[in-house]
Amino acid sequence: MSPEVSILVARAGVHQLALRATEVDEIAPRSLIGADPLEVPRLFGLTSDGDRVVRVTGSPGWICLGRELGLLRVPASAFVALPAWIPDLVVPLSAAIGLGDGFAWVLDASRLAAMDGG
Amino acid sequence: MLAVTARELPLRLVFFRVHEAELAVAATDVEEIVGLGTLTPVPGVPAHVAGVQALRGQALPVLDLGAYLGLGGATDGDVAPRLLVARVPPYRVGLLAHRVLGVSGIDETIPSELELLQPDRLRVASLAALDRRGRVAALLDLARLLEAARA
Repeated sequence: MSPEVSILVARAGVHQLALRATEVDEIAPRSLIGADPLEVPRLFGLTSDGDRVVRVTGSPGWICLGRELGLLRVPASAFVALPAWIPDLVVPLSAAIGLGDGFAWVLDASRLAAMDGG
Repeated sequence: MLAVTARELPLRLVFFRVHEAELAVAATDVEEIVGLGTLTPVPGVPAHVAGVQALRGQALPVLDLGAYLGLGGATDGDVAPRLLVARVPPYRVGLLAHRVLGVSGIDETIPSELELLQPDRLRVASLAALDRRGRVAALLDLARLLEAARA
């Protein structure tokens, strides 16, 4: 049986964006952080309306993944490699996760942290 | 002008249609042909990347040839969209086809003038134009096409 992995998932438009929970240090209401977070949905032209933000390990800044941020446990076997044939991405992705008949996109936490000044 | 001689062309071709355009690829580049399932869009990529589809536990990227090559126009009513799963190392890509016409030998076609192919992007992405029963089909250079569409 495949071990389980905890992920944080949020919606950005039609996309589901995820981070491994082990790469997240804090979750906070946006209204409490007193700074502008890095808005991931804006990287691909969407508005960002998430009311909760996260801070990834090694980064001093906050990141908004989108709305409806939640915690999910998925089997490790649900992680799949990104296809080799994908045009250059404006969003740093590291993998995909099969969820039902679609996929969530796993963000590369270290590259996000670098974008956020970490 | 003929881009290549018949001797340089692949022996077996898969013919398919995207909107009204007839296209072909080397049969050796096609792993399988599958139905179009649920597509998950990829954030921040051009519109010709239709998304990814789950295929035996992997994420298969899907290229909308109509959008990339500028092949607009009508699609006949009896459409059965399929994916031609093309493998051109290091890539494995699903090519979105509105109809798969079948597999034919190169000897069932007559090389034609490449200039007949329109629009320009289709001509640039093609190895040859082939006259097949009075219709001109574009034989795609998949390696060149996939690199260009990924840029």
